[in-house]
Amino acid sequence: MSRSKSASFLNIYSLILIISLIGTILAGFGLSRLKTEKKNNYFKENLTSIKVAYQSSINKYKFFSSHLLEEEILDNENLKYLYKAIHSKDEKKRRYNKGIFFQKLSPLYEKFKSYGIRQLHFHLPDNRSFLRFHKPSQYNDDLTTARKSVVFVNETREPISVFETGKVASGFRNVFPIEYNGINLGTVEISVTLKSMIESLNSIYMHQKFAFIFNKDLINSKLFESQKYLYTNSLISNKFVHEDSHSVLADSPKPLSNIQLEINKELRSDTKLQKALYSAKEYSTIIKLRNKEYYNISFLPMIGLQNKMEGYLISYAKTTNLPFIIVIFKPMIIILSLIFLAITFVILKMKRQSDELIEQKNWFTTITDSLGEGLYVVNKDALIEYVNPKACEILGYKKRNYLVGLHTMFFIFTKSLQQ
Amino acid sequence: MRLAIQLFLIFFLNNSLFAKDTFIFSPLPTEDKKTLYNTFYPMISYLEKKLNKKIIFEYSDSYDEILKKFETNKIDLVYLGPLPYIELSNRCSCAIPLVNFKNSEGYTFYTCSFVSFLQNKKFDTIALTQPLSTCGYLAVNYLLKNRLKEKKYAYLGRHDLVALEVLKGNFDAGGIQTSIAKKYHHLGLEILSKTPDLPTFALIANSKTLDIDEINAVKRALIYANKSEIKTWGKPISYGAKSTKDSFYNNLRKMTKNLSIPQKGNF
Repeated sequence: MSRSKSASFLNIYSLILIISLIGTILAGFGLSRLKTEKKNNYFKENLTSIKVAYQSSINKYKFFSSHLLEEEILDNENLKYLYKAIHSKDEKKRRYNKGIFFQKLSPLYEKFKSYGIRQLHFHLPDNRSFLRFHKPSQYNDDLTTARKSVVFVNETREPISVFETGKVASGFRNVFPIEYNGINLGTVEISVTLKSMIESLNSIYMHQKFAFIFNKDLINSKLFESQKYLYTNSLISNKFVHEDSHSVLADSPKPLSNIQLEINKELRSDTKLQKALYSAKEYSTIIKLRNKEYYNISFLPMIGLQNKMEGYLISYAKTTNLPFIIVIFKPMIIILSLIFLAITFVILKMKRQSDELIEQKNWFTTITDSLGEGLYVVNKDALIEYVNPKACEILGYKKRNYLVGLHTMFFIFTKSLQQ
Repeated sequence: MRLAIQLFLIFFLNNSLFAKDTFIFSPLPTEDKKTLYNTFYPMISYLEKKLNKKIIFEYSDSYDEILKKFETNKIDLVYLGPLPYIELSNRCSCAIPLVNFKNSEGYTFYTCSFVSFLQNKKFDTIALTQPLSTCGYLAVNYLLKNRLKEKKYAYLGRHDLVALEVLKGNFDAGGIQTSIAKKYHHLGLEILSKTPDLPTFALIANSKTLDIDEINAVKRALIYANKSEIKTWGKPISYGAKSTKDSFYNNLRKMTKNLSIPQKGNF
């Protein structure tokens, strides 16, 4: 009887423990799902807003470049000089007209620089460089391999706006076809610096920091050897480089801040990020710094012509609207675990007490069962709670079960009957 | 006491014990910072590996600032044209010429040119580089047969700026290194006259900041650099280097002897 009671007690304790364990796991799982869902939505929203800002910055410079080209650069007189600079038969006349063309456009280029334009570059129909206003001494090099945007516009005669690495530096290129009286004069490119793009993004998101990293293999295949000094390995991944990370050049973005560097170091061990970078996918994550501040880091791939990943735009945002569940997730899991531990503790304690009682009862039964005298125990209602074998024997009962639960009056009655 | 003197001699007279870990190198600002950095970065990397030292690239906008930094031991190695070297050697005996850099024909001399835009006939306004530039007042005055003081002239700083300002029509003519003038030939920049050969640009060491072993090590590294290595250096220094000495500059010293170069332009 007592063994079966003990077993049923055990079963109840085990059941409670299993239920509380399952409850804790389910609660943890539910919290985790909620956290993932909220986090993904948060990342999605942030990535979308960065994409919108990035695209609007590209569009801003695209329309601005188009406006500059139509309104200021390519008036009929300038086009005439350009035509003569390319097509005059006499070499001296070509040089003279090119010089005049340079003279006419130089003040405009100086003005454009103040708008964040880095490069004003004219290319010939065969993709050779004709005149770089940002580097007038360097010309006539073939751009077919390094500058697919130039090849694209020369072939299709359609303008294009795209991010592209290059021989000298990277930039957001706006390339337009040029014609004079129906004659193909090649293309012209108005490029925006990384610095201008970051400034434009900052004008939309003042409190965020932005940076670019570039596909190392792709950039190394294009760069002039003398330009390679400008590129240093990114802390995030060896497959990517930063351009002019020390801001040697005036039109380079500011060097990364200490916080950005600390974040980049942390990101290096993020295997999910490394996978995303490898497959040119967008990515977003949250990092908690040593100063207890949370940062949301988003990676937006910059896909160039021929679908090649040219690099990434990275946004570093100090989080102010982080979903509550992300902040409380860890404490909640700890609290749940503590509750489970407390339940386990209470159950174990109850079980121990129960075991002790059973043990005491067994000890008492062993003693009373071996007594040479009859013994019975009644409760306050005079009902028999316990009777030992000797008492059963005296009363003429073989099994004590017959006596347990009977009233003591029954004894008196039985005794008088026996007498 | 004897031991103390010996220790003093060992620690204070043997410069090699104070060998520097870092050298400061500065070029004359003939072109913009980016171009100069591109030109010298491969050579700096080569010297760093060869000498096992770190070399810092120091850029200054003014010729005079560079000479002052050299005199005050803030620069260990400097890339100078002949006139700045003469000026520096007048100011400090610590300037030790190590090598002259060869030009594309393999010679260690160069020329300065008086340039103008195609078809330009008047030469009233003249763009100059810097007072201490060989191709500045000295060369242009020589090419104009000592009549530069009759013209309006201004110092613009760099050779490429002089070329660009002439091309933009802001000056009638200018004086720059012939090799730089050739880069702008396609835009109509014409070379009207050239100086006789002058010693090419040189690398000068500072004997106050570098010991004799370090100076010789730099000189050897440059003279005996592999051709394949030198080819990767910027164009003005990509044809190798030849040992030089102070007496190579004696002819130029005679040219500058009675010439007072104005430190400011006259318009």
